[in-house]
Amino acid sequence: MGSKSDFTDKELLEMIRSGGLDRNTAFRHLCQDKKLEAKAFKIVSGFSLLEMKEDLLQDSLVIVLKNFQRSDFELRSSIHTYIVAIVKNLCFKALRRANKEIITDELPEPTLEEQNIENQLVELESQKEDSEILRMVLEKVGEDCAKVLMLASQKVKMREIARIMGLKQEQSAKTKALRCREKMRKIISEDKRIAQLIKNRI
Amino acid sequence: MKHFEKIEQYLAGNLSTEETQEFEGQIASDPELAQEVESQRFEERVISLALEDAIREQVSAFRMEEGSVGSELYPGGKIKSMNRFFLPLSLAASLLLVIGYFFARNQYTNSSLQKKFYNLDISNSTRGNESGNSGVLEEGQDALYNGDLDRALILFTEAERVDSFKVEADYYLGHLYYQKGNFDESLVRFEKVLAQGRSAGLLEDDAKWYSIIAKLGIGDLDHSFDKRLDELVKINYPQSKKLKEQLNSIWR
Repeated sequence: MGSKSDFTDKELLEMIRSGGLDRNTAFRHLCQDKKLEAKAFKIVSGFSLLEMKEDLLQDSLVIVLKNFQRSDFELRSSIHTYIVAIVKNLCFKALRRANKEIITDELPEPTLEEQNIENQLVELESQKEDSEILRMVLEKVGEDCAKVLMLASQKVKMREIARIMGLKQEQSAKTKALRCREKMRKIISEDKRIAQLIKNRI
Repeated sequence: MKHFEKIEQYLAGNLSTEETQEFEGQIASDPELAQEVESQRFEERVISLALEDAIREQVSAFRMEEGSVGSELYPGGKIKSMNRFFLPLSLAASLLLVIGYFFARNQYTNSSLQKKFYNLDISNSTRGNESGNSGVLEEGQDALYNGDLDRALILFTEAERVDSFKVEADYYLGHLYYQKGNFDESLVRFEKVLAQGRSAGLLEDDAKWYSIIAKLGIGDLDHSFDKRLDELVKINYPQSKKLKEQLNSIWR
């Protein structure tokens, strides 16, 4: 699949989910899709946010690529429509952050898909709000442990994790993953700010 | 963490509707379980942030690849070495089945950042300058662009002897030595341009930027490196903010 220059949405989604070289090919394809870029920049231009066009497009691509990997994710429109809708939502948020006036009368009613995206972005915003504290945990966890935890979260087999991490045995990878999880848990449980955040959510 | 797997499935949305309802019922009636769920949710968010960082780096790299749409953001500039640099890492990432993680990890070394952020920009050059006899500089630039470094060296050395071309000749010699992999000499040349201060004109900021890139190549991230980068960030010099962010990355 890697040598093709055009892919259907279904193919792209399958490639991203399949992992490996196909995933990279699909990532690259979406990141360098000129038609998609033109559509996205047109939206950004409509919001008079051209100076932020690259950041907004990249943010949208990150959201999309992250979502596409979720097993429960269901694409209900074309990939272009989906990404453009995310760009539009991010534009709204950027305007709100900048306290610029939004003339809502001139904007069309959001579609159902756009409303779904709005809900997903709320989750992302909450991630951003807590990013300082999340990053602090990540740094304390350390590079090696972050790597193991990320691999484990991607359901990479322990044998493969052992190979990647330069461990001799599968069992060593399992032990490391458990210890890293414990380490992260300890960091989280000992931080008062996090305890408060968790308490607020219960 | 008595319910780790069940919570993991719940948070991932992998439980059936009935199972979800049942589990949420348990959460509502068991404060200890509710605490466990929220703690695990927080853990997942930490891992998710690491994953997002990795994806973001990969998106940024794909957008900046030579000839790609994103590379057009830097008119006059040509991002070099990305394809050579990227291919083995793409393969590595594919073998490792992890989206960009190792790509991101390797991207943060001095050497990788130096390759990633180097681009040869002649937009501020003598090109199109009708007032002076800058033929030798233009020929040197053409040779440099075409990769004929030996010829470029002869031409810039010749240009260097003319007082009015000296600053620009040093600037291009900085690029030339950079492309030869001689980062020390490259830095010397960019420093010479910077020593001219404001009389270096439009080349001052560029020389500052490339002195930073050469320092990355040498691995000399001293006080002046930070100071110059901060100055460039302050004036929104293209890519400077991004370089600073990547230098502060946790993956370094």
